[in-house]
Amino acid sequence: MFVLVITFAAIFLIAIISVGMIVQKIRSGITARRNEQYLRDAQDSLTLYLLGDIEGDDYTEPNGRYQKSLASLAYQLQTRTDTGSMFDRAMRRAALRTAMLDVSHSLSGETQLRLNHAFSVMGFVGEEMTLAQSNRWWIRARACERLRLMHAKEGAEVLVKNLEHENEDVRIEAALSLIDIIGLDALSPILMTMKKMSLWMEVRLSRSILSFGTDAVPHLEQGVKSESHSVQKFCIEMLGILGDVHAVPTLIEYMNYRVPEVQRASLEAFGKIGDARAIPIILKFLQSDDTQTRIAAAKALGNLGSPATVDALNKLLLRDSIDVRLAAAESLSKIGTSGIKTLQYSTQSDDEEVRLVAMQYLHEQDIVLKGNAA
Amino acid sequence: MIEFLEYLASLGLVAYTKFIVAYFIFVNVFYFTMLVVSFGAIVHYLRRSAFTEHSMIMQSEFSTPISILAPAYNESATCVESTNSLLKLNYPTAEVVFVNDGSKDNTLDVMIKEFSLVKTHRVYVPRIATKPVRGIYISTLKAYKNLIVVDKENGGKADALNVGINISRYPLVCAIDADSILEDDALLKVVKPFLDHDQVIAVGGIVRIANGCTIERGRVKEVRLSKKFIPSFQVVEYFRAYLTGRMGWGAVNGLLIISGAFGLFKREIVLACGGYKHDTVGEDMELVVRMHRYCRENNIPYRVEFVPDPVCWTEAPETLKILGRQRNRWHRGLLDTLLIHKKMLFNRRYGVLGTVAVPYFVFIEMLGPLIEALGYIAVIIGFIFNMVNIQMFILFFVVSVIYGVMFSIGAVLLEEVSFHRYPRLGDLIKLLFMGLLENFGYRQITVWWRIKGVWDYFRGVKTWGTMQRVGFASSKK
Repeated sequence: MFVLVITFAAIFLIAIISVGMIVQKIRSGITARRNEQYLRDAQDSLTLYLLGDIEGDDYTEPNGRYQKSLASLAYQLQTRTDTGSMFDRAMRRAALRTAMLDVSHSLSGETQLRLNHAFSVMGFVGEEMTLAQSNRWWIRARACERLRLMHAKEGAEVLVKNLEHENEDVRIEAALSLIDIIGLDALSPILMTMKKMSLWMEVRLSRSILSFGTDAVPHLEQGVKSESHSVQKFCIEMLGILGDVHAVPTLIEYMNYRVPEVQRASLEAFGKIGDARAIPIILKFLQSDDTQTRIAAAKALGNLGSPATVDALNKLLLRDSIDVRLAAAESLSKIGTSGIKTLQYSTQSDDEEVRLVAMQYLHEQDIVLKGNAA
Repeated sequence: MIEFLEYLASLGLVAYTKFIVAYFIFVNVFYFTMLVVSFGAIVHYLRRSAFTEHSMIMQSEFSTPISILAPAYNESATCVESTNSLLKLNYPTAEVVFVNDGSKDNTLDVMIKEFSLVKTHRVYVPRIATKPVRGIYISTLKAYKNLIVVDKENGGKADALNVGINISRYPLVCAIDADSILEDDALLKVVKPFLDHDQVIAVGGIVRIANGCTIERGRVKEVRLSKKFIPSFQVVEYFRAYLTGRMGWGAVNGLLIISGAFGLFKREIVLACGGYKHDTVGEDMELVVRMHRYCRENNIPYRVEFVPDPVCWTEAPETLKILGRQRNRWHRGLLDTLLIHKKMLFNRRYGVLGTVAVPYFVFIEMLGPLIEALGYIAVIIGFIFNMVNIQMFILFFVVSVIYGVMFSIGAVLLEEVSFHRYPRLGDLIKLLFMGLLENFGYRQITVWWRIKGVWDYFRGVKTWGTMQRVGFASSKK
């Protein structure tokens, strides 16, 4: 009897799921067409609002002609979504929000101000601020993202709270929104709040920070002082990418207090920045006990390209493990004539491994040069 | 005497019937749990995907560089197109390591000519022992600066992959099959778990069946279901295996198989484990199990993850003969891996692997076909001795079919709620129909191939068997 009940339940489930999938497939096409129509209507309304004639030009004056005129336009926008059944109104409102979010990143100046005003007047900012405190992480993260697109300064407080949320996507969206809304001043507090950064977070934040160029350097230098190794590493890598020589003293100052992973990031940054002041400290790290750190130091010297480092690299080539030898030879091949001569001399070495490594880089450089000439 | 035999048969039959019913309940409860876990994992994945713009990885200096390993044996007809296709994948820093595994045709000559290759003096460091390398080639053209071609003595796919791992320069290595078709953003999608967690050591991608799809210039342009029955059955099977199986195992860090057709690995761990094993036909599964074992035994925190986004397409066998060979080989590979790592079975030291994943693969995947076949034999004996309760037999058969259909439909449902890559209503209806139809004949024949795989394994058969493929050209419009 029990088996029969379970079996009929399974048959029922199969039938429901199968029919449900088929119905959903047919319905999705119809819904998509209907939503497109709502979106087109919303886009038309939004265009009228954004391009509508407005009186006055001092938009800073409270209750001035401009503000009154804008309020009138916003009222018209609001009434356009307020027609039809309850379902219709909800759909129109959702479509308008989508249309506004779609254009938010491509507007600037006065039009951007109009859009921000509309976000507030329509109640979208308030809604998102409430959603940014939801118990569900994906709703929070989405709300943080939308507050960014709405340029909602009033959302800053709730965004700061989300910087310490347990979910990384929430933290990322909150951080990006704060940087976007407040600007670079938000960066140092964000970096000091972060306990651990994943590579994904680095990918997301770096894009936003790079848009500020070298203005971000002082804030990243603050971040280097964070207690979190991953934050330190990220800030150092960013300083390397930005390539500002002003960051070199800070990087040198903190070199001796760090874990090998962070030291390697610093060595790489020195190579990218290309400041000769870093050479003494890089040479010091050629003696490190950690193989990967020696490799990073050798590569940094190759990127700096100073002939003064040839002897130190040659010592690595002659005495170290195969991986370090390869890095040293690669660097020597980048240091002009003196490096190449050292490699040529090494092809006569008694040590077969040294000979092979030197020949590899001489030959590959030759191929590259011929290729470039061709 | 006959009465005694009948008595013995009835005793055996009753005992086996009880065992079969218990086993059936256990297996179905397990599958149902997996379906629920997978559903949760897919929903979580989709929620996270909503905040993942893969183009950001493409533009970032923080993305981890990848070496793509492409082993080739007698691929002169397709090597240029497949290499070009790999070089064009969307990823900021990637190199393609093409390994010519001692081809008897002119694969190497074709590559040298097409990509303007020259032999270099590059030092080959055999961190994993391999067959000798005859030469390493790079291109004189800037456009192919990310291509390295290695010529080596023939040693099989595992050996070719090991050479590729030795040569590769980047921290992540991507192993693919020569006939895999990758989506443009395949690497961007599978690298994401590595960016999310630094403990990730391997990521498997979903492999989908390309038969019936429109393929243009090495890319899937239009997704359609094949008009033939055998590939269509396999589509449902792959949904079950990947969307409800591997997705669920990935969620509990118990994923034991990453398909040889497409997987991304942390090079450092692969090297520490000794690379691919040469003398097994299931080298892809064996490596993943060894990586798990290495990390567990050395107390290294780790994760093996699965990405359900459609990233890789492959051509499925279209004839029973070829499909039979493939399933036979898969089962031998499974058996070999489980016997090599038998120490893990019910061993709490290996966590969820030792207590759940390995026992599942032993008792359900490996022994399942034998138990099912014995069930069919028991029914025949029962009929001979007139001991079968026809009503109960029909009920049991109907119940088993219904549960089989339920899990197939569950897998199709997962596809529909997540990626719905089959946009046509007709294809959806056909998939649902295949989920029902596969229980009458197809399922039984796969059981037979797997039993034959066990038999061949113990006979010492180690060959792959010829895999004739129709080729993707036939699916072009």
